[in-house]
Amino acid sequence: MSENSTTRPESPAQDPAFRHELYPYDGDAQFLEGAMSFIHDAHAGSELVLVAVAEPKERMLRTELEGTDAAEGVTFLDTAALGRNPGRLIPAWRDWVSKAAEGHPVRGISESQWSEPSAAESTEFGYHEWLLNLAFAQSPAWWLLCPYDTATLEPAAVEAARRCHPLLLNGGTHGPNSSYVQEPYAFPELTASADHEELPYQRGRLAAVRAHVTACASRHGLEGTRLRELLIAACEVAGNSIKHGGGRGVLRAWVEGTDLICEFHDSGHLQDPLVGRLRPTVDQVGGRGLWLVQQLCDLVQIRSTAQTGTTVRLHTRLPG
Amino acid sequence: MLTQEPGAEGGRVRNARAVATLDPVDAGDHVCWLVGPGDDFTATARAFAADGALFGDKVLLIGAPETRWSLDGASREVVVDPVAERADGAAWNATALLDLVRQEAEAATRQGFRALRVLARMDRVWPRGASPQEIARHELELDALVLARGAVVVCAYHGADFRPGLLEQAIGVHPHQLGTQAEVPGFRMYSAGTDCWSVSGVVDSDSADTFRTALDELAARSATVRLLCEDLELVDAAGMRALVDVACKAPGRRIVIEKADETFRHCWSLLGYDVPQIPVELAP
Repeated sequence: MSENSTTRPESPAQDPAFRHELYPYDGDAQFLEGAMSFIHDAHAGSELVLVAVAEPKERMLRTELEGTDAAEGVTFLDTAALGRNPGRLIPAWRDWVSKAAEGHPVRGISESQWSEPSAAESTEFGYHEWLLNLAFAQSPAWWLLCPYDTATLEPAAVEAARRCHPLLLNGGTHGPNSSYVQEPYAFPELTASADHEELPYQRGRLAAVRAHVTACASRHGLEGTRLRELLIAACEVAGNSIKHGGGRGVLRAWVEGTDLICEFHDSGHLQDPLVGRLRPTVDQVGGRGLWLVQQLCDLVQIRSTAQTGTTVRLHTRLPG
Repeated sequence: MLTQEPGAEGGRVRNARAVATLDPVDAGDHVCWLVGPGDDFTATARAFAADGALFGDKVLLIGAPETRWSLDGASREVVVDPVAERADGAAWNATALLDLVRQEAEAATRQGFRALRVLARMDRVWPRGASPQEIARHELELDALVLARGAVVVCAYHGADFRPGLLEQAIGVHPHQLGTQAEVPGFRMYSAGTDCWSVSGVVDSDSADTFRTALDELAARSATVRLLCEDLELVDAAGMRALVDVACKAPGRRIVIEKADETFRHCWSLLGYDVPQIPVELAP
């Protein structure tokens, strides 16, 4: 499987245009302190700030900003409309950063919206953080602050964040992060459910893929619009296997926690880590399938190497 | 040229369906019969013609070489063999088939028949084969004629004479199908009135090329193409790209998508196609 492949710099983090800063904090008071300080600094420099945080944190910031001059320069991203999938965040930030290209210096504050993320969600949010360095390696200058609540998050999640943020806000001081390392993202191994149903597929078998997904989804109450969206996503991934991934693949489906998981495996290799995370242009040839998949699914996990092929897992939250 | 026949809004509601035999076919039906190696074409054709007599239809057999099926005279049955016609020097092709169907449909009305009933062997219409474009162009025009005249037309495609890709194309531009084929397109495109076409089923990456060919034939003949999509179950990114490519292929083209569901509209927007430079309109 391979969609668009784009040449990217080897050491994106050395480009100072994008300031990607970790802010480990302990509790709401410290969150407010760091975030408000960041917003006031932005205001002093006539910079605009986009805030993408969970609803309770948004409420806290709105209360704190009420009546201040700094409030005018702050925009809150509708994270509920954006959905749960961190694979949709980079396009939102790119839209925001395009303001910088129009002459408005910008900053951002981004925190995971999950109060209790699953292991898969935590891993994918960490990967999203890692990909930000790549996605904005050649962007106009901007500054993104990423608060992490050390009181509630798993230590491993905070440790992973330390490794992919070049900068650190610590004790009110902005500076380099000594824990940052430029290395491939260390994905934990995907573990398959022992109880899954398999379907091999190839050209002309997309109808069978849809039937298999529908049967599994229906057993767990998934129907209507959400099912249709999952079927389109399934078509896209299976279609990529057929077109780019050796002409065939294997579909497995099972339920894990509250999610229906549809996993597609083929022998192809996706070379672009940002595949599906950049909004396609109208006249672009190809490269739309995984974009659509990211927009339609609650979580997408992609693992791809030349040696092992490509595995794509689509997560869909089950009703109830 | 793909023209729309007068009287196409005759109130007939058409739904795509598969039929197990030709027994239930009715006025306005246009069937793609995939003739397999185990099918008895001659026996089926005889029964089809006999049903014509039963229902008071005029029967037109195209490509059936045996004239002895004739029931009671030429006014009820017309048997034409394109191969024999060509041997006699006539320029017999798909256009001649359309002209003949149009002419006999008018004659059937004048002569008081219920409808014109046609069975055509497509391997004898196209003895040297046909391109997907030719098949789409011919069958879509024939379909418009079938709807307008309330005819019954069965196009028999012998699997031995048409490669799978051509059979897929043929199936996609008939509302009805008889016979099985391992790889069939998930969509059906058929006339729903003047410059208006129903699209049902699924357009995915398996069928997007077939869909694009059919749509291109419609757009080449009519500046504005209306597609009724209420029975369209799913269109993936490849199918949507086909819509965009066909609409943008030549200046002045416009495609109007009607009654598309919420998922189609959502995906269309997600793909960034809801912009003025793409002449595809999503109507209610």
